[in-house]
Amino acid sequence: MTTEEVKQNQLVTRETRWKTMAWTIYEVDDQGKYKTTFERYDDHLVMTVPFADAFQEKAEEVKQNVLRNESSPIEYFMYKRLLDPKALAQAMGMAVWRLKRHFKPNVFKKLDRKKLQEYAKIFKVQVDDLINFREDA
Amino acid sequence: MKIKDRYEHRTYAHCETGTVTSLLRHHGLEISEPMVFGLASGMMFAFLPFVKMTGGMPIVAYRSIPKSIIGGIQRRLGVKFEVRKYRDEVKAMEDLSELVDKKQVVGVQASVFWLPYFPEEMRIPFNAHNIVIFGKENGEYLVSEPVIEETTRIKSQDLQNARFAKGIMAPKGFLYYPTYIPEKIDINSLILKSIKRTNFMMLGAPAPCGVRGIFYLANYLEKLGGKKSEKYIRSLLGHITLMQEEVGTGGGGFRYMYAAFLEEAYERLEMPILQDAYRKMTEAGTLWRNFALVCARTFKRKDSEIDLPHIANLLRMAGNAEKEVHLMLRKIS
Repeated sequence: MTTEEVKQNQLVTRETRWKTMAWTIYEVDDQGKYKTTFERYDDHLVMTVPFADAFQEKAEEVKQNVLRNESSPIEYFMYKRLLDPKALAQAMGMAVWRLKRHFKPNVFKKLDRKKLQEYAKIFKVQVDDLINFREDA
Repeated sequence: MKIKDRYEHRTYAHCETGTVTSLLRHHGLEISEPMVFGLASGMMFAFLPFVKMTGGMPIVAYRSIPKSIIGGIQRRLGVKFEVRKYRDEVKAMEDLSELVDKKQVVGVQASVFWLPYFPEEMRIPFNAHNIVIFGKENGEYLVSEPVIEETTRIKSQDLQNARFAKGIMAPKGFLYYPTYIPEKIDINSLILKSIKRTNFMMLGAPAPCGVRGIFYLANYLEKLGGKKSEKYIRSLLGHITLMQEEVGTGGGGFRYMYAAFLEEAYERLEMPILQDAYRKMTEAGTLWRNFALVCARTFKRKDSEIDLPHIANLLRMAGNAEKEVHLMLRKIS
């Protein structure tokens, strides 16, 4: 499969997943009575997707830094999983400055396996994907 | 309490009122979602620019704080919920498993980030989401999710992660289910009390909350131009739309749902003032939607002009319409 096909595939699966969602909306009918209707992916102006896309863009930027060895995979996966430093720090139960330290490649290399395991659990990846950076894990 | 044999899944507009409604319905109290929302005085407005959410955006809330529905409905209707919190993750899961084996339908607080059945783009770290667990099959829990049309399943480990996510408003394994429902509940006599309370909350609250909060947000938006970067302003407007229309609110940031409550109140009590009120509230909801629409447009078209005074005026119109309703309803109580 070419990259373009993969992208197209991702788009299709994304839409089918969104199709199961049903936003209940309270609406007035002709008689002025309230009823409930659904708004779907097609007719619902999905704001969530552009928001998620903004995170993905950031992740792409960071990916280049990781490949150039200027940042660590932790930063990449953080944006990929729609987290920001504050949210990830809270999820890990540690201070933001400590998390940001782990973005440095030198510090990242020295992290022990237990810490990496904690990160991997939050990112839903394997520890090896963090050590040998695999972007699509 | 007449507990039904089979759990009946339905979609609801909002997660917390949805779970509470479906729990009450399962235990034999026929009640609609707007009624629960209205009786628990769920409507509110708050804009807190100094508290930041994920992505550095301020909190814009269109309802009272999470868990206030569970508390409010107990106080108002006299129903009793068993409410539990845990420190021990294993014990929490054992307890849930035990309850489910006894055919108890349980409401659970969970973090959206850990729920695998949501689309990936939606899994933001939001901890105060509510779901209903109504059974267990082959080690997987059966989930009734208020925003998905059909029931879904979740693995035990995923549910444990979701119930013990860390961060603000951490669920800490919070679970609840009704234990006592009075034989006779006279909802009619409680409606006016609830309206009075909502009135007090909306009109009496200081600046960042209630009706004053709406005008505060309008002023804040108007003064934003030149102070912050264009990118920030656009994403702030997008964030407001997201909070108002895309996370389950029933449209117009709960205003339509409250209007549906007022309509039901009119049908029960037949006071003409309530009819006027629900029509006016619907108008207010539409004004809110207009405001969100312009915000969304500004967010999506990156090259368009940002007309902040216009946006602020739209918001003021919505605020004025809502204020009128509350002032009108003040007379009855």
